Amino acid sequence: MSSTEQGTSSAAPAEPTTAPESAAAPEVPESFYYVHGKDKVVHKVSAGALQHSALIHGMISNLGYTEEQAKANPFPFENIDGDILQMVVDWCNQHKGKPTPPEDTNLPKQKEKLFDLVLAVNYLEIKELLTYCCKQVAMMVKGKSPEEIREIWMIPTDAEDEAAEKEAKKRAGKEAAGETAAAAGDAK
Amino acid sequence: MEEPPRNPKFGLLKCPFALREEVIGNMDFMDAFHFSTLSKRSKQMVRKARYQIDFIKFRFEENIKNDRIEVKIKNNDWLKISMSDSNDPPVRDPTMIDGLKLANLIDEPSDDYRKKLSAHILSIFHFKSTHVHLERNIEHLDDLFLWDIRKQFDCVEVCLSRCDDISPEDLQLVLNNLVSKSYLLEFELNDSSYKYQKPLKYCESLDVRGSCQWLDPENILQRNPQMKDLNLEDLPGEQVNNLLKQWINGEGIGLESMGFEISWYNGIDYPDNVIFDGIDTMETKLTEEQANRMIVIWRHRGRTVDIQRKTDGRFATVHLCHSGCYVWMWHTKFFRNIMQIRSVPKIKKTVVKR
Repeated sequence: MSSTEQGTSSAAPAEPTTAPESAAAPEVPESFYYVHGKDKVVHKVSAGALQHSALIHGMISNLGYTEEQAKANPFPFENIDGDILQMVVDWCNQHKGKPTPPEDTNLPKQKEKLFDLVLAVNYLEIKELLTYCCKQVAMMVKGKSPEEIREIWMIPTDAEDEAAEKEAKKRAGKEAAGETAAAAGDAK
Repeated sequence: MEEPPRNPKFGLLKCPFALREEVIGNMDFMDAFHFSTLSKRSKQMVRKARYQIDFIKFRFEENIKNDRIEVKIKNNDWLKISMSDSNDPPVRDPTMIDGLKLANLIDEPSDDYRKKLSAHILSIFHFKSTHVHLERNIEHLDDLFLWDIRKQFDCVEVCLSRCDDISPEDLQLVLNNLVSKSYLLEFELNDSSYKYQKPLKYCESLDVRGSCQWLDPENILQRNPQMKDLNLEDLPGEQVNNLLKQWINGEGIGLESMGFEISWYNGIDYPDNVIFDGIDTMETKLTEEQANRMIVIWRHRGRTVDIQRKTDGRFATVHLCHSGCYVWMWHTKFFRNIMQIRSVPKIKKTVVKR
């Protein structure tokens, strides 16, 4: 399980549980890594749980960190909110070493957070969780009318799209003109 | 007063494209359809997401009010969309989704709602198999809205009722102007002297039931070398014999099976001496168990023999019984099927010189 610590300096990783005596072969002690989000709160996560993330798994398999090195160098994910990273870490821990079921009841239910969660999961390349999240997003509009779908997913009308496109072109034109004027000024 | 709970928002368009694709792929058919009607961009998104659907069938029923589109959606459920003629009063089948209402959601001009809706559905979803089924003689068949959208199908079915018939012109339109891998045809032609002799360019499976008088079986295998399965009902015995000889003489190189079923009321029978006239037959190499497995309508009272092609020595098994004559060519699929059975016949491939 993960332990959450305020700041890297106060990190005090819990000892991994020891293998039961009855086990036939001695278990290799599990290695742990540390991640933090925008809020700098460090989460201690086992390598097994992190295997869900193709991104982190790729990083740790290339590093070969010792426990101390891992502790001293938590992976920074500054683009992910702390509470979202917490949700992701919790999910990874709950599904550590287990095949993920077709319907996941452990998926975070907060619809307001779903957008940030989807982006984080996509960034961290957690395939199974991403599938669940995308199902959840699809479920948001299940049985809704077209106008309800427009409202929920914030889909602009053709007229709004055209206006936005015009505006973007205008802005790009202005920026280009500004750059040309600046370049001419520099030349003088 | 308490405000009603508001729908949570999700800025789908701010997501990376791959994510939008995944979300759209997880939507239900009707939700994805509704979403596609919101804007040009949303329509494009559904199209690019390559939303896969197994099967769609455009059904033109005996009664025009029952015309519909059938779509096989997720979990093997079927969705029916009413495509009742636009000039009809709005008496619509309540068990179906009203196609007119769906078409009204699509922001495109069209004088025929059925055409608009069909074009939209076919353009945004990706169907593995697209079928068309005609059950009535459609006036001005050449002007049917569907042909403006699509002329290529996986299966074309023309199954007219006994009181309806079809003209040679309409038959040619179905067989020549449309492209289909498979045809299921059951109708009477209104011109008994007409014989269809052209090739069916892309047809791999032809199933003609009821009357097949309109079809000229002479050299049919030569005309259609791509044919895999040929089923002709109530074909006179002499013509069955002729078709067996066409194959023995090297035509129908890709043929996998032929079936000549007899309907009980037509008084046709297939005596051995007519069907195998001039054909060398040999005792079948199939065991009873294998025959039972391979030949679904295998009858103990029937006769099962093997025949061999003169050009490459390939074998075929012919089963003749009171319900018809059935032929299975020994091709890869055939072997794969009999290999599943424990005892496999010892097959020695021999090349017979002409």
